[in-house]
Amino acid sequence: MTLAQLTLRSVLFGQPRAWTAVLALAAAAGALAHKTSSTLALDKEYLLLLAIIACIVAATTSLHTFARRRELATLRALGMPKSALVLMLELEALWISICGILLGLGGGAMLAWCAGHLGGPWQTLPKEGAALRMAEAGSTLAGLAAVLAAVLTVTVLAALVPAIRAAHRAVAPGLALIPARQEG
Amino acid sequence: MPIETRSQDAPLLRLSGIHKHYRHGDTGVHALCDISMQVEAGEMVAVCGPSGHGKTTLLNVIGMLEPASAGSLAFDGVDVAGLCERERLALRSRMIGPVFQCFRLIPVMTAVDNVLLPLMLARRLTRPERGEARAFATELLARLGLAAQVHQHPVRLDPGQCQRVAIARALVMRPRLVVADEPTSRLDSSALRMVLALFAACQREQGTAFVISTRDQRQLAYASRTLQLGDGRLGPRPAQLPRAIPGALPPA
Repeated sequence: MTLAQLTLRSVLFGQPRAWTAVLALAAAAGALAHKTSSTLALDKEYLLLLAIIACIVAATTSLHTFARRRELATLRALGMPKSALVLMLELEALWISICGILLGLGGGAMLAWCAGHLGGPWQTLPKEGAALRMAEAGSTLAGLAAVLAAVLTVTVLAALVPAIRAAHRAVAPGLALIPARQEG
Repeated sequence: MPIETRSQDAPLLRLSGIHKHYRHGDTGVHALCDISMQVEAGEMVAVCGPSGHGKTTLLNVIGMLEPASAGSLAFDGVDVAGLCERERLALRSRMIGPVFQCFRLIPVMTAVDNVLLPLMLARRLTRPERGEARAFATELLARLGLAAQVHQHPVRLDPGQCQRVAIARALVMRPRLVVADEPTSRLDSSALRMVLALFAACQREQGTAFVISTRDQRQLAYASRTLQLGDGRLGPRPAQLPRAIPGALPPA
């Protein structure tokens, strides 16, 4: 199993809170896509959305690493170098972001398409809801690339500090924590 | 590399005057006091003693998972204190196979992937090497009676099976020293027989040494030496236990 496979499994099956982050990122990426569809200018609104994404990624990585102290200490004890641990946590953050972007853009486009075909009051939604207008952003390649680049760059930077802090935690105290399955 | 300039006559493991103290709130705890011991290749040294008297700390120091406050630790005559972090990591990966008290399996990986993890972390394997490693990991699991659980995730295994997966993981790198914290605490008699048979084969074929913390009387009988740890000090040996015939296994 490669590191990429391990991190993807960890995000998809290991941590339910990762999906909370995926949903939050989907909304933020969707809003960013909507914003990018109208203008590529680097204004306050654009920076605010990127800051929200950075906060989501940093908070998720911090919580993720704290909740998994035992697992991370085990990996270090089995020979994982600190640099590889940082890389692993960065990859996990990137998977969360990629899932969020796909969900935000893909889900938004699908909802917009469905709303367009349902008729009646639903037809007005794509013009009003930011999330539903993501389809418009997805239609322009430049807008999509801009969203991807911005979100992934912010993800890497936001996850860096919590990842480095996790890699520098002492191994023995992490191993001493009692697993929930054996408590009591 | 300094770790290659080893002495041929040196014991596999030598601890000299090891002390370990740390702070717990406002009080200082002296977990290990002046521990000196040697372990030769192929030996099985059992460390016994009550809970909270420093067994796990001693194993952590031997396994280079935490540094000693004072004293020296040497493998094959090479003092660990003289190594940089990268060299220590390389030495630990190559020489030491750890078995942790609560198994510490990775939940999103299958049993065989958990066993393969130290190999995967040590270096990038080529495709043929990956195949060989997987076959060896599967064989180890089969020898521990887990042939049917190779592709199960830890959540589907009982504690005894998890413990055997953790033991297989410690042996997959063919380490020269296995440092095991209560490795047989959850095993029934038949599983214990399989584990001891595998340990004996490693001792015989590869000269693997074992330092084991245990309170399991069944395992103490198979140790080459038993050391008593009390209040962080190695004390006199406990009352002599009935010795097992070397290489023999407990009755079924």
